[in-house]
Amino acid sequence: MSAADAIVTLRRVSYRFGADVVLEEIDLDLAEGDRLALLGPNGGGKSTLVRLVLGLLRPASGTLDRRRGLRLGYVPQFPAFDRQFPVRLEEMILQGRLRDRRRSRPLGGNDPHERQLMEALVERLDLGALRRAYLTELSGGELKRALVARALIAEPDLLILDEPTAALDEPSRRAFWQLIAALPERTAIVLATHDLDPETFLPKRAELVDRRLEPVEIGSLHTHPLVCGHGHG
Amino acid sequence: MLFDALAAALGVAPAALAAALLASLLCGFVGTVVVLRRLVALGGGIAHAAFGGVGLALVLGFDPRAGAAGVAVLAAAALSPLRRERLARQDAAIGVLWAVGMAAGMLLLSRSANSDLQVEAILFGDLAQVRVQDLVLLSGFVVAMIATLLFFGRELIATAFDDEHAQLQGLPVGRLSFVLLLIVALSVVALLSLVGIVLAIALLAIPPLVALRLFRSLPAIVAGGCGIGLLLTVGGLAVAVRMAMPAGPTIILLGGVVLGLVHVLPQRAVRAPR
Repeated sequence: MSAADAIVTLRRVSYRFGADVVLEEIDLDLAEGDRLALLGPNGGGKSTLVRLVLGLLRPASGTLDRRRGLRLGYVPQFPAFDRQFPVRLEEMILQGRLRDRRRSRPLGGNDPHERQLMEALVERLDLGALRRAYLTELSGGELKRALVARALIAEPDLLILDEPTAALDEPSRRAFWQLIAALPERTAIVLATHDLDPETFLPKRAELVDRRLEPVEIGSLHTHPLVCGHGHG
Repeated sequence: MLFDALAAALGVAPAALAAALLASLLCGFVGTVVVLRRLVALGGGIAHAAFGGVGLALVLGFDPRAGAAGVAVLAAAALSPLRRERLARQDAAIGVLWAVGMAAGMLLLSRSANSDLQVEAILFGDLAQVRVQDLVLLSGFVVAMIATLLFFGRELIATAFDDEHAQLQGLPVGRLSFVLLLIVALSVVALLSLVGIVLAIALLAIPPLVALRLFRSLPAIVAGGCGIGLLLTVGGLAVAVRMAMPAGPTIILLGGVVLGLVHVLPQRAVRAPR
């Protein structure tokens, strides 16, 4: 990887929660077009690593650099917001464009490109009929699809997916992975999961996260205990 | 003048009516923030901590409102680094802030020369004592708070809704959280002269809580909060004057009754359609 391609670099990054060491001495490089799977057991530190990369947590030690102006898309495992908040589904999705709206339209208004992205996403994710619905009216799966739409409408340079299909039924899963497959080649994707299905997302590389990082051979993914069909025996 | 005629018809002083009108604007705009961001307990904690500031100001011989505002700003600054979900879970810290503020205020007031006269007005407010200079100050404050909320509306809504995602979008979440808490803290202080420390947070919270049962969209909840705040403050004031009761507690009790009523009625019967 050339330095010009690097979008996120972690060097000897550790993170502690109180006295517990959650992650220790992590070295990780993310580049444009990366396809990285973070595998590992529950509690191994996948979500913490993801939140460090996103800048939502600060390392206890080590250095973490992100390219300036990096556009981030994030589908969290659990939403951090209050569903009682009076926000309509389409307003929530458009919050994924907040950065652009502040820059180009500080006083508000519509952007045709934004509307076009919105139309395509709600159609692909089967959310068209729910655009005016409030979040309290959505099922768990519909809310998850809305989170996916909010992440993708940002046209991210780096898309981070933390157990993104956990609440989705089979047709929604298929639609989701089709959307991911259609993303531009240069978009870096990090998938954190304890249950990878290489039929739907084949990473270029994989790391096992269990306090430390350990590379997993892509060739051995099909037989790895944390890959779909092998982890539940 | 229509305003004076309305005040005369209700049997209340024009200054008290004007204060009630201004307070209702805070109910709609700031109260909605308080309720949606789940800052009711925190706002109560700040209000009671501000009592310590009042006591300090009286002992040192300056304006008690400045003392209350100073403590409120400090509390807002100390709490703003906490994320929304952690803020809502700080019940022990809020409880301590609440009690320590009251204890400090009572001790300091016991050292003040005219403590007996002051304590009841500070705790429960005294709308009858609102002066023109109080109104001028309150008007300026209300305009400034509403202007700030409208100017930063998009950013403040995004932060209040999902501060984690707002941070990913490059918003200065720490500063915006401080602005939100500061607005809440100062609004509580602004309402002290009307309903006092004990009741200020209830006056901010009850109208939007009623509005949330009746309306679904954010603009409707804010406007509804203003309207319900107006009905409660003016209605409570009129009842208090007629029945020779203290205004602050009457307003809050009326609010409690209305809130109870909208919760007893089935939501489909009272809420506007989508």
